Amino acid sequence: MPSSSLIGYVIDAIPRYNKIEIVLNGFRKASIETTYPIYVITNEPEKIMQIPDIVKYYEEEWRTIDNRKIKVYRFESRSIEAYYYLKNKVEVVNEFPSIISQTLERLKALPMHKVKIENNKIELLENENSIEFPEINYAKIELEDWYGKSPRGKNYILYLNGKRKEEGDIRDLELEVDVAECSGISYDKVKASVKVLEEKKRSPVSIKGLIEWSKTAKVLLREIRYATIGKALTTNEAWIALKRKILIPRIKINVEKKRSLDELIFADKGGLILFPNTGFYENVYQLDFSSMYPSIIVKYNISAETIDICDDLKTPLHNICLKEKGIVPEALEKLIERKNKLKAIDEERAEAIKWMLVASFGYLGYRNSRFGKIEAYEMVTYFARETMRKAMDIAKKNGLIVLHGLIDSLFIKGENIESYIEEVEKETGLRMKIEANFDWVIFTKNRTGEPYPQRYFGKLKNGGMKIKAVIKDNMPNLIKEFLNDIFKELEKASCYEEVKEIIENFDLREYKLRAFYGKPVDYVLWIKGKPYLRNSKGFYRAELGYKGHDPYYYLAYLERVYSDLLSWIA
Amino acid sequence: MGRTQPSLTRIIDLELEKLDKIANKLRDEELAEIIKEAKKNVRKIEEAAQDELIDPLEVILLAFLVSNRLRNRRDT
Repeated sequence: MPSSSLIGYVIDAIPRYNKIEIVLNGFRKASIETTYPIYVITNEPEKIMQIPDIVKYYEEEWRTIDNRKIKVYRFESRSIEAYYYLKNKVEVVNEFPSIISQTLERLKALPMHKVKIENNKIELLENENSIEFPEINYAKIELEDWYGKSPRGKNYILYLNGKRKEEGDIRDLELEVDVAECSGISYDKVKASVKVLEEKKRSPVSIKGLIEWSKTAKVLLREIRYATIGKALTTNEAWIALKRKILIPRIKINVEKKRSLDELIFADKGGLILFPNTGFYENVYQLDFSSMYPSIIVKYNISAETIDICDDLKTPLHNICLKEKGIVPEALEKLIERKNKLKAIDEERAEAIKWMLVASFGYLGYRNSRFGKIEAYEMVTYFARETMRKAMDIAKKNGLIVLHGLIDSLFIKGENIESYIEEVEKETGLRMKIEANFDWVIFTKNRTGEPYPQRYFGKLKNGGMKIKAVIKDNMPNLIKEFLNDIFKELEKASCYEEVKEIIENFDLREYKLRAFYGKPVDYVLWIKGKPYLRNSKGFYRAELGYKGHDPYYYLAYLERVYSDLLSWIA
Repeated sequence: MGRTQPSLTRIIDLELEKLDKIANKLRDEELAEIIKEAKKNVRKIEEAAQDELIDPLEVILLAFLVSNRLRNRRDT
């Protein structure tokens, strides 16, 4: 037991016998006496008491997600091993969030939160929903090879606390931080309380984003470093269920009600698409509903346990019960609020929360989602389509032209946009924002001449270009560079004639020459995160080294992309 | 996630592709031209039909009717 007090941020925790070892920033550790809660559905609690590590038990009344009362026993164990033993023998429930997370929550040692540890007691020094970023040292180490970023690379780039610090030979790297995201062999070169191997990561967020997830979801970084977005999101929902004493089953049994094929086709639709009017347009606004799907879930109380339970809100698809706030809406409301607050102070952390919100809708319909139900998923797209139709009708009424619409985004041409937004927000109850204000924009078509939704490029009024789905990850570097260069030129254009002139007179000679005599890195293209090149025998992996290239493939690629550009301005 | 019904756009394109192939095999230039005209309207019909319970072939049929009407109007 520490005699002096420790103040710091909870980075990690290690379960020990009758205690838990809390790891604070700066590699400081403190042990706290505790037992671990294990929830079991059983008729023979006394039998479980025979396990030596179990010290006591409590009988509690819980509810299932479909509102049935159920008797659950909470056993307190001196060790986490008793939990691993029991989960294979009896029906253990409420395992999510993990037993360690539940133990930490009881002790008020919330991950990534500031705490004071003194005399075997923990005091939480900040609000549970605090948006302060922990004062810890975190690093990201990237490795590079001749073709770009690679776990096999021998040169490293070190980003310390979000800033590029140094680069060099990986053999010379020496680093001690609280949390590190590593790649390849750098994993063994770094000393950190928690390390994340980039290659094993299953979420698209940065290390700072993972720290934010750990803080928001009150779960150790160690537990979510390789988790999917869904797990991070579900943890937030599970805390609400635990607080309400709603049982979190190990396996979800959710049988969809019987429906005819017509009913299914009618109900199971995606978001609304208004195909773009292809071509060049001046003075166009892109208006987006902010976090549309999560906001709809919150507004209409859409959750597995609120659909078709009572008919407070009737729709042609299903009815929604409004008597009690759903678990999913409550969790999402907090996340939306957090994202909005973070947006003003830290874009990177706001992005991490945004990923959870993006996944929230899909997860409602995922069959293994603990708090999901396909009927709830259908309700979200239903309300999204209704909302978009309403927004389009209001535009028409105000004399605005809707050029393109997709799910939660509208491209509109006309005057008095601010008053239009105000009216839409009033009518729909959802927030709408100006995502982009274009001087000009070009909506593209595919090679058969049909409009291609969500592929456009345009010049923004406040400078710069917005390019969507034109430059793709799987294009060779040479082509990406060509497109970036042409778009840099297009930034100078202010009308259709200038755009046409720049594209038609763009000098391709340099790029054509490079298709034959460029650097090996020019020919690298990335497919599903793996680098490839193409030579006369076909595609080969860049890790094998440069083994020649097929200049005619790259030349044809260049000409194809250029002819697409020409067709879009014709 | 979800149940993911096949994309209506993709199914319509597949059906139109079938018609294209038939027109090619028949070597019927006029039919090919009619299909080409219908393709110009098919996205608009698809867009308007999003809230309805509709078969992809019905969308194509409507596209043919619309392009036929437009052609008649052009010719007169």
